Amino acid sequence: MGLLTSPTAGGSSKKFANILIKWEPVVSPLLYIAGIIWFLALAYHPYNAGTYFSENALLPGLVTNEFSDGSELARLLKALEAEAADHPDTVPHPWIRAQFRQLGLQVYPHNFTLRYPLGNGSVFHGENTYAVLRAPRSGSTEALVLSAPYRRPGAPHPPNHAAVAMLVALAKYFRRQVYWAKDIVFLVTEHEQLGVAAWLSAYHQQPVGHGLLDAGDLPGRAGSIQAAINLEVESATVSHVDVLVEGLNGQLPNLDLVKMAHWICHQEHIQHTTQGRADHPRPHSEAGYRHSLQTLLHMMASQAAGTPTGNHGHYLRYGIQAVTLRALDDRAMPGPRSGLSHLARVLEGMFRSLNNLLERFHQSFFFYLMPATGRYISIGLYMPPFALVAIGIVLRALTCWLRLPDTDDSERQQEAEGAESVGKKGGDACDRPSEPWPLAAVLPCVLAPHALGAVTLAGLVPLTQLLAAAGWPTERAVFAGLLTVSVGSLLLPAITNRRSPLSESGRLLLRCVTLIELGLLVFTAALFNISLALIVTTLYTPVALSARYYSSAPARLLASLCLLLVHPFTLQLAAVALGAPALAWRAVLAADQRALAVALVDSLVYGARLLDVACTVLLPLWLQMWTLVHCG
Amino acid sequence: MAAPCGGSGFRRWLVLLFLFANSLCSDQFNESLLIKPLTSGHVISKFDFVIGTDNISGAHFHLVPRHLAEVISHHHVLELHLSLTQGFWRHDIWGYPARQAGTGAQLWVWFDPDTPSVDESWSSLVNALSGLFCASLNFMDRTVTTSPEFAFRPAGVVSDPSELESRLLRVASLPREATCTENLTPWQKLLPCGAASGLSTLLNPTHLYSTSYHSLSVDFRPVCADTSCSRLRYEITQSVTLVHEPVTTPRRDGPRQDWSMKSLFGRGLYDACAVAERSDIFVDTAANGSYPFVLSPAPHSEVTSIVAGHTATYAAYSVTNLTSGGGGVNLRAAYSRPHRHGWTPSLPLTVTQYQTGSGQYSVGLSLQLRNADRLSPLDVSVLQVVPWYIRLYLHTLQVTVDGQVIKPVYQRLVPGRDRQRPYTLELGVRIPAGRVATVSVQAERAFLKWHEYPPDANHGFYLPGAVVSALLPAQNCTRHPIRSPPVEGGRVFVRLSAENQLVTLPTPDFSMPYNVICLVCTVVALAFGPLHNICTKRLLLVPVSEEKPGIAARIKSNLGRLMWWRRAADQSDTASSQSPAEASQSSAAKVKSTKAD
Repeated sequence: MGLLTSPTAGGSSKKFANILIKWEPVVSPLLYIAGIIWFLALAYHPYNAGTYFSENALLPGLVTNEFSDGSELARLLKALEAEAADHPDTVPHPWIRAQFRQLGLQVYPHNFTLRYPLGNGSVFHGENTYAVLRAPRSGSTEALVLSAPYRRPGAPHPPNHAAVAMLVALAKYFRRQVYWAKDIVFLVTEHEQLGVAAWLSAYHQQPVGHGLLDAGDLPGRAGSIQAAINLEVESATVSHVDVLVEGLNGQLPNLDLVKMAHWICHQEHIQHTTQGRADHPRPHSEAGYRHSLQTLLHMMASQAAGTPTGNHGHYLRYGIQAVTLRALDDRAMPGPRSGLSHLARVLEGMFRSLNNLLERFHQSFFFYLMPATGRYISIGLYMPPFALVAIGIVLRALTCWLRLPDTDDSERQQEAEGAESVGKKGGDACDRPSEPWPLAAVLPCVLAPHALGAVTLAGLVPLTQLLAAAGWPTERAVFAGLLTVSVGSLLLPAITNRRSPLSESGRLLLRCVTLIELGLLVFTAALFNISLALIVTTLYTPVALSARYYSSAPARLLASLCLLLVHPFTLQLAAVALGAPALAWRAVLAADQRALAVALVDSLVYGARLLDVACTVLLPLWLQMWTLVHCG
Repeated sequence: MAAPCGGSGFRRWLVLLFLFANSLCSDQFNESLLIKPLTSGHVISKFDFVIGTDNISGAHFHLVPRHLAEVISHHHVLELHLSLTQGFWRHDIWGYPARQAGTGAQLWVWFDPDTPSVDESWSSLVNALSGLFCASLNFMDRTVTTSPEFAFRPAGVVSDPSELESRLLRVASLPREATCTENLTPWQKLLPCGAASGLSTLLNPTHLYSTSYHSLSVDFRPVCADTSCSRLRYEITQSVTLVHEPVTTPRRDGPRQDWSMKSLFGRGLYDACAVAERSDIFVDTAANGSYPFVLSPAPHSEVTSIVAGHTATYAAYSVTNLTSGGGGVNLRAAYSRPHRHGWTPSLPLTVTQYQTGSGQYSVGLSLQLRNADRLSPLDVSVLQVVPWYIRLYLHTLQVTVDGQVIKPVYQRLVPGRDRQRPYTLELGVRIPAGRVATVSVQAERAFLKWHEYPPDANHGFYLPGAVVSALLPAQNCTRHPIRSPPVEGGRVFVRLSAENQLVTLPTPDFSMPYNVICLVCTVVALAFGPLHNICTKRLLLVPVSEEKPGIAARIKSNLGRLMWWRRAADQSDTASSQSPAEASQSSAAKVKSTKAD
C-alpha cells in the first residue's frame, strides 16, 4: 500500500517507482505482444489438453443403445409434416399433445405473452407444449429436459419437424424402459428462444425481461432440472451433428456434458463438430494448427457476442447444464450419412448417461475454450496470456499515478527532491508537474461520458416509440439514435474543456482513471466471458496506451483515427461485416441495423449484457480517451 | 390305513386345541387384499394384515409380534404410524390414497400422557424401530422432529380428549430414505404367517419393487372392543400399497389392460394363512363402467359399501374357498375394450409443491392447492416442516388466490433454530370455489459446516413435502369395503402428501482440499525422509581406538575365554559327528562375537 499511496516515501519504493516509470513504456508493449503470441499458441495441439470425463457417475457408452424404431420415426415425421402443411399459421399443438397423451404421459400447455417494448409496442402470444414422463419409484425430485423448438413453414430458420417427431418417438421408447430414475420432460417450444426463456421463467417463477415477458404459470412440474438437451434436426439424413455450447452472456455448460455429447456421437459413428468444423486429421501439422486456431476464433466470436447459439443458452442461467445438438445435412461435409434412428440412439445414450448422474454437474470445467471437438483450453491455461495482454493497462495506470504530483504538503518538499533525483536519472518521468490536485477539472471529463452512456441506453426505447409514431421502423430508429450519439459525442471534449483546458496533471489523472476503469472492465469481464474480454483488451490496449495529448497535429490526427477505428459503434459494424456473406455496403448496413435492434431486444427481454456494457462502460471509456487526445 | 386316520384325528385335535388357545388369547388376525383397477390402466393393490388384541403389555403373546409389542409398551406409545415409501402417490392420476405416506420414511407417534419424558421415549423409540425395520429411523433426531397441532390427530380411540396435547405427539420424516427388501423382510416377519402362507406370499420382492409406487406401513392404535366402547382393544395394521403401471397386452383391435395375479405379483395364490379369521380378496369394480372387465374365477359374492353417501361395489373372494381345490389360483381380469391412455380423474382437490428461484442464495417454496369445486369453498389444513438449513423468512409467508393475498383461517408458526429444530408451519386455508390458492414462502439457503455435508453434497438436500388434510367427497378415494375411512359431515377425511423437494445448498469444492491434502501429504512424505535423516543423523569419522583395555574389560574378556573353554568341551561331547574343521570355525566365530561384546 505504501507503494501506491506515497511513492516517494521510502527509498526502495522510490527506486521501484523510478524503474517502473523508466521501463514501463518498453515492457507493456512487449508483454502485450508476448501475451497475444502465447494465446495464439494455445490453439496448437500439444499446448492444450484433451477433454476427459471428470464425473464418474455418467458412465457414458457403457450400455448398448437399443432404439431401433426408425419406421415409427419416419411415420411420425410424415404425419407432422402433413399436419404442419395443413396449419401453416399455427403450431400443431393438438397433434403433438395427442401423441404424447396416447403414450400415457402427463401433457400440459403453457401460454406466455411478450409485450414487445420497441416501436409500436405490439403484443406477441406464444404457446408451448410439454409432456412429463414420470420415473417409476421416484418422488419427482429430479428431472431431465429434452426440448425442441417448433418452426412454422416460412420461419427464418429451417424447419425442425424431425426434432419434434423424434421427441415423440423417443418418448414412446423411453416409456417402455424401467430404468429411469429422473422424470423426463419433453418440451416443444414456440418462437425460438422466447419460448424456452418463458417456460424456464415460469418453471422457476423467476421473472425475466423487466416485466415485458409474462411467463404465466405451469400446470405441472417435475422437480429440480439436472440437465437439458435441446434438439434441432434440419433434415432426415444427417451428415454431422454440431454441438452448440455458447449460452447467454457467454456462459458455457459443464465440460463433462459437452464431452459426453461428442463421445456418444463418436460411439454411434455420427460425425460431430464444434463450431460447425470437424477436427483436422493431422492436428500437429501447420495446417492442423491453422484449422484449430480458426475453430478457436469462431468459438470466441460467438461467445463474445453473448447471445445463445441455441435454446440451450437460457437453461444455463438457472444453473441447468445444457447443450444444443444441431443435426445438419451439409453437402460440403464429407463422410457417410446417418439416419434419424442413429441420432435417436445418440439421444438415448445421452439420457441414459444423464439418468446415471447422482449429483449435479459440478466436477469438470465451466470456463474453457475449445479449439477442436476433443480439446479444451481451461481457464488455467488462457488466463496467463490474457493477463499479459491486459497488464499493460494496469502498468501504465500505475506509472501515470506515480507521475502525479503529491497532494500532501508535508511531502511536497520530499517529492521535489525526489523529482530532482529522478530528473538526474533521466527518462520522460522527469517532467513531474507540481500543481494543485486537478480533481475538479477531471471530474466532468469522467462523469459526462458516463452520464451520456446511461442516457443513451435508457433513451433508446422511448426513442423507438417516438420515431415509430413518425413512421420509422424500429431498426432504423435504434441505428439512427446510436449513430447520433456516437457522432455527437465527438464534440464532448469541446464542451467539457470549454472553460479551461486540462492541465498536464489533469491529463495524467484522466489517463490514470481511464486506464484503471478499462483494466477493471477487462479483468472483470474475463471472469464471465473471456472471449469478449480478450477481444476488447486486444483492440483497446494499444489505443489506451497511446491515448494522450499529442502536440503535433499529424500525430493527433493519427491517434484520432486509431480511436475511431475502435469506437464501439465501428467495432459492431465491423463484426457484422465480418459475419455477413457478401460485402455489399447496403446489405451490411441493413444487417447492422437489425443486429443493433436485436441486441437491444436481447438486453431488454433476456438480460443479455453486451449492449448495456457497451453503452455504459465502453462508450464512456472511449469518450474519455477521445477527450485525452483532444484536450489541448 | 390306520395311520392317515389317526393323523387326521390328531390334526383335528390340534386345530381344536389351537382354536381354544385362540379364544383364550383373544388375538384376532384378518388379512385382505384390495385390488383397484383404474380407468387409466394403473392397478392399485393394497394388502392389509390386521391383528387385534386385548393386551399389548403382558408377558404372553399369541399373534401379536412380541418384539413390536415390547417396543410399543416400553416406550409408552399410544399410537404409532410408520410408513416406508418409495415413489410418490400421484393423486392427480390415482385418486386419493387410503393411507397418506410421504416419499421416504415417515413416523408419527402419540405418547401416553403419563410418559415421563416424551423426548427420551421418542429418541429411544426411533432407535428401536430403526433396528426392527432395518431403516435409518435413528436419524429422526430433534432437527427433523416436530409436534404439529392440527395435521396428525389420533386415528384411534381417545379415552380423554382433554389430555391430548401436541406435546405428546412427535412427527418426523426422512424424505431421502430408500425402501427395499431389507425393510420388507423384517416387516414380513411380524406377520403371524410370515411369508410362508396366506396373502403375504404374493409379496414377491422382484415384482414388488418394479411397481411405480410401493409403501410399507405399520399402524398401531387403540380401538373400541365393543359398540358401547366400554373396553379398549389394540389393533396393529400392517399394510402394503402398490401401484402397478398399466400393463397392456396387444390384441388385434388395440391393446388391453388385462391383469392377473401372475402379472401383478409374479405368482398365484395357494392358501390362506391358517390363523387368519378372515382372508379376503376384494376387487373394486368402479372402473367396470368405462372399461368392462370379466373376473375369473367368478367372485364369491358382491360387497357394497356406502361411505359418506357414496356407494362402492366390490367383487369379493374368500381365499379359503378360492384355494380349497388345491393348486394355485390366478385371479384374472379380462377386458372387452381396448385401452386408451389419457384418462384422469376429476378431483375436488389437487396439490402440487415446487421450489422457485435459482442460484445459491435464496429459494422459494410454493404449494398450489386447487379447488375444483365450482360451487363451494374448501377448507384445507396444511403442515409444512422445513429443515433448519432452509431458513424461512416468515414475513414472506403468504397465501394468494389469483394474485390477491388472502388471510389464512388459522396459522401456527414455529421458527426453526440452527441445528436444533425445524421450521413448522401450520395453516388453515379456505380455497374459494373453483380457484387455486398458492402458499408461498421465501427462504435462504444456509452454508453448512464442512462436516455437515453428506458424501454426495452436490446431490442436494431433501425437503419433506407439505401434508395437506381436507374433508372431501368419497368418490376418488381408494377405500377398503369393510374398514371405512373416518367420515365427518358427509365427507371423508383425506390426508395428502405433496412432492418432496430437492434443494441445492451452496457447496464448497470438496475435491480441492482433497487434492491439496493428497499433494501436501505426498510432498511431506517425500521430503520427510531426507529431512529427517539430515536432522537426526550425522556422519562422523570414528577413529579405531588403539588404547589398552581397562582392568574390568580384561577380567571380562578372560572370563569369556573361560566360558568358551567350557562350552567347547560340552559341544565336543554332544556333537561327536561335527568335523574338527567346523568346530574350529564355530569357535572362531565365537571368539569374534565375544570380542564384539
